[in-house]
Amino acid sequence: MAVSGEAQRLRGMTTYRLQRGLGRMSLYVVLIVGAVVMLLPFFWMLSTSFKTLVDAMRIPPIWIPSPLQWQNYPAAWHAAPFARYFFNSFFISSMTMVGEVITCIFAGYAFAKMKFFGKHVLFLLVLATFMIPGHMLLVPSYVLVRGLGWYDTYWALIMPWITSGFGIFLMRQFFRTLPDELWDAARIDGCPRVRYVLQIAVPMVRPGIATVALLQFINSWNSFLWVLIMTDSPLMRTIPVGLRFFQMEAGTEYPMLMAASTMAIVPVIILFFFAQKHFVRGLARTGVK
Amino acid sequence: MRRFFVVAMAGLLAAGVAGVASVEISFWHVFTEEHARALQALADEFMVENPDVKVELVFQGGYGDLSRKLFAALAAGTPPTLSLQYENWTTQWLDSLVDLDAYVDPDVLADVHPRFVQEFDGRLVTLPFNRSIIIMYYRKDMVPEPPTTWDALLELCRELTQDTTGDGETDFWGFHLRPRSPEEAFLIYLEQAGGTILSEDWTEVTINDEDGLRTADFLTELAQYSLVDPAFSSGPFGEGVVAMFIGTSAGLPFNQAAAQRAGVELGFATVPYPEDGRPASQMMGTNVAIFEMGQSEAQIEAAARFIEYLLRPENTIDWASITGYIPVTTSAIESEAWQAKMDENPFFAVQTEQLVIGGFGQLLHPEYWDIRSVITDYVEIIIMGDMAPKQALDALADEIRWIIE
Amino acid sequence: MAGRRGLRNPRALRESGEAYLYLLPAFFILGLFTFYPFVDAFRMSFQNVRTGVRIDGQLIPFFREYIGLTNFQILFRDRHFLQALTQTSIYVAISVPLTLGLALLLATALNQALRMRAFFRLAYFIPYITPVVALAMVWTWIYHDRVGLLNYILGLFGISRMRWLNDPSLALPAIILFNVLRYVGYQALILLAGMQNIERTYYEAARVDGASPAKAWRHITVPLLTPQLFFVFLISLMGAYRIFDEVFILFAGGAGPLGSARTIVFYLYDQAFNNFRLGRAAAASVVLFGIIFVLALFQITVTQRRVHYDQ
Repeated sequence: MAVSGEAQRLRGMTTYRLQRGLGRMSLYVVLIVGAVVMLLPFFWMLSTSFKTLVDAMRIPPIWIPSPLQWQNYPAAWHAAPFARYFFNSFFISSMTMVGEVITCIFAGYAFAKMKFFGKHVLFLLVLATFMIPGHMLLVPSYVLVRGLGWYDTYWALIMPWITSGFGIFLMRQFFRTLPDELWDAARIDGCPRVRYVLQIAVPMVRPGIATVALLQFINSWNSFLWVLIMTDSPLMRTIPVGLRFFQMEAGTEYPMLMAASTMAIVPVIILFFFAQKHFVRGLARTGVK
Repeated sequence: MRRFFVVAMAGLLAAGVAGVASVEISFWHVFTEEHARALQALADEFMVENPDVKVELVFQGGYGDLSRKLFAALAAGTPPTLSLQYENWTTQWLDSLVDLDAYVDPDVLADVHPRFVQEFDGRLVTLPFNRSIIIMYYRKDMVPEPPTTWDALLELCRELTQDTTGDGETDFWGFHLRPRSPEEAFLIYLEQAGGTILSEDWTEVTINDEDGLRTADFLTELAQYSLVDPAFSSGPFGEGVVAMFIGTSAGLPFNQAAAQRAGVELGFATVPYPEDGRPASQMMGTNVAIFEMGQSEAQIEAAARFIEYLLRPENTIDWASITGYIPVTTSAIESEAWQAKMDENPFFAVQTEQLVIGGFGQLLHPEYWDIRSVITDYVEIIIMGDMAPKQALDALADEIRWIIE
Repeated sequence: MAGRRGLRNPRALRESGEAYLYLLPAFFILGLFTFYPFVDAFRMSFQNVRTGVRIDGQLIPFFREYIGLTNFQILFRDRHFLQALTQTSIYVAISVPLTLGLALLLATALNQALRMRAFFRLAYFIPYITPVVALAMVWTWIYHDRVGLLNYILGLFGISRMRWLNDPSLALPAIILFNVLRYVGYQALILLAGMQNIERTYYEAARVDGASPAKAWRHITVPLLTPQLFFVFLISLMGAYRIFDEVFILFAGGAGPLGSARTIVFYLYDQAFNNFRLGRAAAASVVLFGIIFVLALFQITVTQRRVHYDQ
């Protein structure tokens, strides 16, 4: 009886493993199919960017063009001042990123760890910014920017974006996780708070900073309408705006358009590729606590 | 050759000129590539002739972008000296424009082709610059003889529209119809049938009268044999799936490229019209105007000089032959030089003929943008067959009435 | 509380001062570029705004006059605005739960799959970080009526050609498909992070009790994931109501066939920057703000008992 029971148990376990294996496999199949769906547009963009216009219009489609029409890239690059667009996008995104990190560290820390009059009201103001649709601010901002004499300058593209309610909120969430005793100990040692924040607290919330920084960089990089409205000269355009102007000029030249889109997308993907650990770890905190 | 020489001269003189220029005027435009170069050449030549003026040409993107930039610049009190503009923009900022008859030579004004003369609230504030007109384009292999009447057009479309692969789906269409372009899809035909949007004095809405209904019925039928697609016609034409379409003459380069892509020869014709109607077609493109705000008297005067210069017969002809727009003065259109161009190139001939026989402009009502927007809606509804033509036109008339009141 | 005591206590007073210094840069920028324009937008919604108007012979660049509630009255009689309001709401009602549901499933799957997780993470996340202008451009090409990739693939399954961007009944689905794919990876990532924070002991206890994985998922994973679900739901709800860029590119700056892609922000943009009716646009933006505000309040009240940010 005991032997037979053991055999049955073993058989049961095999079935269980088999089922589990099958489950695993279908899980991977679904995930892979999903990933293909996600990546297909990018593959299609790449593929089209290497085609002649005639080949691009063919049905059934040519998946891998041969020979590769490399010249679409220099053609697109030279059809519009993309070098300048890239510089602008890098410069503006980097500056807003640095600004955002600095302002949000201090504001976030103050909200997380300091006591002051009106804290509750001020924090509600920060939360309130989440609810303000950015498009609501376009027209009044435009008038304001003109009034400041910042129209069509980097100031207009950088200054309004060097802080955000979301960034402050995120940094606050991260700083809250630090134990109060840390500051108490530092204070007893006579450490000024600014030094404590920059030298002790900040390194401990590095994933949060990375998240805030990356989100801001990507937001700036992708920003469209603001730049469109706040700039005038081609020299001030960023990649998305340049891309749209290029689209109007290129019309149905899909291979060139796709080459230009590829150039716009690649830097962000590279950035994400190298920073994804920070990014993910940071995002993990976004919704917690 | 002449132009090359002058440009070279301009280059040589540039250093000297730069020092002398005492008035700077800016001109906002939408031109790229060849068009931009042609305009720059004109400006360079003008600056050689007028060393005291510096013309700064500023490319502002598409028309939509230009309108936004203009609006914003006006709001800030810093508009350019000169800018291109559509009629419905002009009505928005009419107050801030300079009366051109006070600055521009009366002989020049008298020479502007009558089809292009537009008065806003009794004022002359714009002059034509890059004007085009809607004409018919077709592929010569499928359309040996372009139809000239509505009936002939419908007949031919009926013949050409078919399912060539036999899979049950139409894959070739006689005509391409852009449902959200009220000019191309409706207003031209309305004018041809003798209809109007509003009565002469703008007090009555007349779009749903007999003529309007006839237009809508025609449109409903045409839609059956048309590829209905809001994309520029050069797209489907380039794919080789449509035989005919009507579109602005300014689209020529795109349509030529499309014909090349499809491997067919491109033909031009005036727009078909009803036998008992008029050979009308809507003029497109923009005018040029001078802003008063923020400009000195010297700037306004220099800008007027630049406009006079642009309207000289040889210049408007040069501009037209490079860009494909229409010369805008009577003397230019009737000149031997332009006649020679028309003999040489059927495109110029068709376009000019279309203008002379029936060019008409936008309704200059201050609420035209809103009116046009509801017309767009209902034209699309009619084309999509979402409402019976009569019902749609009545609803449209009600909305227009609400807008003008 | 802190404040009242702070006024009497010199150390607390100093701390307050220091805190204000820390807040100053952020609040200066927020004040100038968020709160001031925000208030101005409200003001503008009661005004008629015109440019370059001549008044008593004087050209006024920017002329604003109060006209009471006229803008709002026009708004609620404007077919386009009502259409925008309805369509945006439909879009939100479908796309937000759909994306979140898929994201939850995806996160669950990713939580199981240990191999190739980095690859999956990259694949599913890429659309989110991609510049939306570039991605939408790619999709106009994919959605092309006759030579588009999507119709070709559907054709392989015997589905006849669809006019994705030219058929009034497909415009919204086309936008939804685009955005579901764009956001699902991002949302899944946040949820996945939350799942990984759930202590394994809960699951072990469940297994000991003989609960199936599905049951454990329903009774442990989902409830413990509430903060993340709440966060993602709220963020995407507000984001979805503001939809604009992708629509603008996909429909080439237009409102789509029969206006079927007209959203609230598109209406706002169209009124402000095509039609130059700033007052009307501002009124529309106030309505948009109202909707988002009410939704947020509703969300906060409903979930307050279960989600505690401040603990």
